[in-house]
Amino acid sequence: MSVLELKRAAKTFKSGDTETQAVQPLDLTVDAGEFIILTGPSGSGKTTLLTMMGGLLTPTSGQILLNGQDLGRMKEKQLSQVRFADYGFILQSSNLIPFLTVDEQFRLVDRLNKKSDEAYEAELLAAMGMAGEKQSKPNQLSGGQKQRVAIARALYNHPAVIFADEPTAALDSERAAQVVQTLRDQAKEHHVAVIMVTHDDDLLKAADRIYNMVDGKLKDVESLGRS
Amino acid sequence: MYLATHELKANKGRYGLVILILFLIAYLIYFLTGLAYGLASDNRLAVDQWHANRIGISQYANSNLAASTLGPDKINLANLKPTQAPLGEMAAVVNKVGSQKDLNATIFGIQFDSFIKPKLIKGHQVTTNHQVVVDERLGNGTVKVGDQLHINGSQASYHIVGLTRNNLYGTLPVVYTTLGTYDQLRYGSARVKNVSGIVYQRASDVQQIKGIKNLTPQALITHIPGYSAQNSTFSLMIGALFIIVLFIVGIFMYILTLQNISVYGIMRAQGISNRTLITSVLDQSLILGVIGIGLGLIANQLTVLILPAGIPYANNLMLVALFSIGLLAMVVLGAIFSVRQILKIDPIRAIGGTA
Repeated sequence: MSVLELKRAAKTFKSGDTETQAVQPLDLTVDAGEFIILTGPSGSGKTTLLTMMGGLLTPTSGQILLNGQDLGRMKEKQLSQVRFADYGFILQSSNLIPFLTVDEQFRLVDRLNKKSDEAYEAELLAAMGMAGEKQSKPNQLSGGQKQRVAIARALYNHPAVIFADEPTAALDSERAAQVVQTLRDQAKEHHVAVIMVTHDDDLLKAADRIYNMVDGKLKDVESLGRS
Repeated sequence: MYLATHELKANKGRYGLVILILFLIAYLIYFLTGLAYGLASDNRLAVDQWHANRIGISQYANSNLAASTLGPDKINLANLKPTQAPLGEMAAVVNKVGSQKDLNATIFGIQFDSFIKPKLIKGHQVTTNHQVVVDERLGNGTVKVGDQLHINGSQASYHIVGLTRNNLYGTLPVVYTTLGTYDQLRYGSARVKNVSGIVYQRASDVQQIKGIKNLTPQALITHIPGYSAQNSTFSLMIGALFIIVLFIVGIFMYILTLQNISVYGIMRAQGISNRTLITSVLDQSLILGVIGIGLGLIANQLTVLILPAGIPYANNLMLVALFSIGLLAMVVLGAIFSVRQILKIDPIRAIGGTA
């Protein structure tokens, strides 16, 4: 069942008289629990595509549908609610709030949701091997630990899709592989779709589908002969 | 409040500095307010005790009681009702008999059966000339019933027969005596029947007499020389401090918000609403304000305990409450400078993309 669908979605940036087509019109369907990796050179439009799908950027043309709802028709407040309730974000650098402990990152979500699920938090942290770090602040954790907490935090809200923008960029290859494998395992277990941008070819084996982006065009890797 | 309190706890140093500055300014504001109110009270306490409706003084006195003289052609003392009280006023220097120490005072010559006679805390009212009732603060509390005073270097001595409380005029303790003694001291003879003014208890008692201007008690006090000038000076200083609070908090919160822009950006990207972030900043300012202002008030009240008796300091709960609310409002208003900054945050930039 598809959770996210792009129909001829495109993004053009204007600067004075100059127009830059960052994302060419493209179609894409993402199913629940699917792990998709986007690769491509810098400036190819990967992050633009990710932010469009993430409801942070409105497409210039086409549609982006989340569970059938057109994000382009939503107001900022609704988009904000979608980002909070239906999406999870894992960013390049840690996206944890620096002044909250690991446990408090989850409590903040609870407060905004007006409900708490400490058992689920414990389950996620245990799965990430972070159960003993509940009282640690982000600056007391290593890069890999921060990203594992970020994954747990992203999954905690039961999102439909997780967007991961180079989540392993700051990690060594061994730690990067562990983090991505953990993300994949958790996504599969909880039926959450993951769309991850990475430059690291070693991580591609985790993907169900791989797309390469070049000059704003999305190409299936198999079509490039990189099965 | 959750975000606000956790951020404050995590950055005690930075926010402690804001609290320190708020504390110092609040302390100064409360102290200046107490001094201003104390000084204003010391100018007017005696007049307030009359609970009068109007005071008639010479129209040529520029509303200044000290410059007013009304002769028998204006005021016939024999025809006055109990609710119409003649008053003689003059500045004086008094010495306790046997002491060379000069004590500044205000002399009020009155009729001791009139409604403006002082309330006593000790002794009895004046019954004859050469007797006085004095405010207990004369000589910083060193005078007592039974002491004798020289007034303006007089050979004659005046017996203190009673003590009164909170009877100050023009910041000086009042020495109450008879109109006869007043005329003796001011005009050299008790046979002179001049007074400075006439105090009316009720509006219905007020007489329109040619050459006499009827003032409200407030107008009389406002025209005490120096009263308005000192009040305006204090008001200006306190007002300036309020503006300083506004800017200091505004600038601090603005800088602290700028330092948190990337964190706020990530939170925005994660779908945490502007409202949550703005509420957090306003909550922070409120917490800082309550702590800083609260500490300022406590330190101020502790200072009052060790203030020398001669310093004209007085607490006014209404003013303290009003200024506390005003200061808190300034603190929150200062934080509103940062709201615009939060609204301008681009979450795409925060997550490393370009818009």
